[in-house]
Amino acid sequence: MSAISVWAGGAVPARGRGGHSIQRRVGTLVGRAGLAIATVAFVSPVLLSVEMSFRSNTAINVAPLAWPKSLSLSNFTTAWSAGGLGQALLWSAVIAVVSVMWLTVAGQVLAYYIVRRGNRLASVALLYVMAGLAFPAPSRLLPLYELMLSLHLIGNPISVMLFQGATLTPLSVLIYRSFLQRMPIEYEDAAYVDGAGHLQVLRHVVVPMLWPSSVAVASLTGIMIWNDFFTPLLLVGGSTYATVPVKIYTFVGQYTAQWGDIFAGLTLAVIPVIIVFILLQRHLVEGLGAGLKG
Amino acid sequence: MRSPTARQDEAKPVRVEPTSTGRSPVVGIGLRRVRDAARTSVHPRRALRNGGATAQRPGFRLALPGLGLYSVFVAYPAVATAYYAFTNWNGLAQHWHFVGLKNFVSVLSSGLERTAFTNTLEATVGIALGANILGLAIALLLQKRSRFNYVLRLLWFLPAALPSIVAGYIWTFIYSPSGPLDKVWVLLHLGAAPGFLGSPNEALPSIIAIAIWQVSGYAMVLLLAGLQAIDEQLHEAARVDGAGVLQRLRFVTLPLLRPAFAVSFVFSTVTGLLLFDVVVATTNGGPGYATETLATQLYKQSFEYNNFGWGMAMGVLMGILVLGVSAAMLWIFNRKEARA
Repeated sequence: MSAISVWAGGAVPARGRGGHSIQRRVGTLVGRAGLAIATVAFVSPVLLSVEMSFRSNTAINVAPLAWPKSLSLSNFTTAWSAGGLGQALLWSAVIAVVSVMWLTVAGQVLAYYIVRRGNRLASVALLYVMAGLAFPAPSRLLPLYELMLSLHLIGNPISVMLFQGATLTPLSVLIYRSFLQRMPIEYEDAAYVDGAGHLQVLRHVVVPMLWPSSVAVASLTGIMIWNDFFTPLLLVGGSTYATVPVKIYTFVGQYTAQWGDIFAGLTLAVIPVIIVFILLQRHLVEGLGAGLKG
Repeated sequence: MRSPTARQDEAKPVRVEPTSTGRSPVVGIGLRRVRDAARTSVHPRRALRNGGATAQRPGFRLALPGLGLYSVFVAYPAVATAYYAFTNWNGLAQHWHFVGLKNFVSVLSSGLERTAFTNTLEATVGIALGANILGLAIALLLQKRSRFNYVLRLLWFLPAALPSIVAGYIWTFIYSPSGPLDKVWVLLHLGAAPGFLGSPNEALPSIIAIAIWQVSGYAMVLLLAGLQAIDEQLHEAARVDGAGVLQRLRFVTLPLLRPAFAVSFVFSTVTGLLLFDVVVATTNGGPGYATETLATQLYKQSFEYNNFGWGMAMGVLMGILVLGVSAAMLWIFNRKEARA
């Protein structure tokens, strides 16, 4: 997978293009400075919003770009308890973890069946699952809502887990499939020769060997689930089980002019994403490449 | 790749069957048989010993959990949407009847929907072009491997990892009257700052800019992967032939990036066609109807006016658009790839 190398640059030292003249070095330095400034400008909205979250509302309204005079955590307490962001973070995490567990277990087994069975039924199953990629959430929204209504799951976090687990199945299968196709089959055969059953082979051979792709699936779908707004708004909007983006939406509605509180909420929503992103970015990008290639 | 004939090989491993390569088994029997046996995953010795039982092939029941949940919560709602789009069902009534294309006609004939459609189209083109041009520029600038570039790549991808609704609120503040951008405008002596989200003419471009800010990170990553797959020797050969930087970009890099562009364009156009979160966070369709999109209209019509038949017709149309545009992108880039 070529995408792996995109982030592998860290360990490799910079390689100049032969010449070491002073002119070239100065050129590189100027180029780097320009790039660094452009990059900081590009991410400045994120930096700004984190910085805002420590300021009082009046300080923001008076001088949005001025250097902060004092920092306070009061916005965070407002957002956390009065705004309900603390609860939303908890439920978002629960929903993401359960959905991701389903996607890594059921998606992996399904992809294993499709790739290793390799008969006509498996091809039909693959086609059937991939057809799901052609139906974006808006094309499924209303019957899904009716279905959840009849199951009495509207306003229940289980509805979001079921929705995310099902919706991201095609992506999960696609990523696992692309890894499985490149995985030598001999290890599995050896286990079968030794008398292992399917579940034992899965547990002791396939799951360990597919571990990197599981991390890719988990990080990619995890962030997608965490960030999703369109369908969760309908399923848990207005309930006590709202996910973070849905909660942010209602929170901003309540505190229209209170930018400090809003930014504290935004910062709380973003921190988990950034942590996962920094820890797992290599796998994330790998999964993105594998998933979109299908 | 295994073919259906592979199973026959497996069932009777001793007999020579026509192989998956389709060639006559008479040619090079021994080697080909061993190779095909290996390819179809059956260990020759084991196959002989147990008479070629298919025990080591995973059974269908392994596929059932994944397929089951997917069928109930993806396949069924998708099929039901296509079905109910032709009825007058309002989501509540027990009875409904077919109304033919009435819902589709009412979606397509309303002036507001035409506005939503042109807005969505404009946003899609803007996002796809903007994100890919910016993504390509950054990918080219950061393609050399170094610690410095590595950190910068991470930062350029950061906005892409944020929830779109959060991005929308951050930019609502940045665009706000006497907000940060306004101050920058004054600082640079650019005259009166534009109205941004508050102005009917500038609201949509302002929203497109937010989406580009997010999507360009994905474009950069995908194009970087494409760039690193290009053989360095091709550049070397072109350099020896006297090609300058721009010529190499035009005749070596860009043609070889087409598969990466195909993927990146599919991703960015689909993002544009489904544009919702950022609009809800910034303008909610306003001022007037200047930033209504297909997705915001679907929500409003379905849940503010309980017009479910209408909403499902819109859902079907959006599905067709997504499928059609994705197929078109893949076709355009693969066709050119074949020609190059």
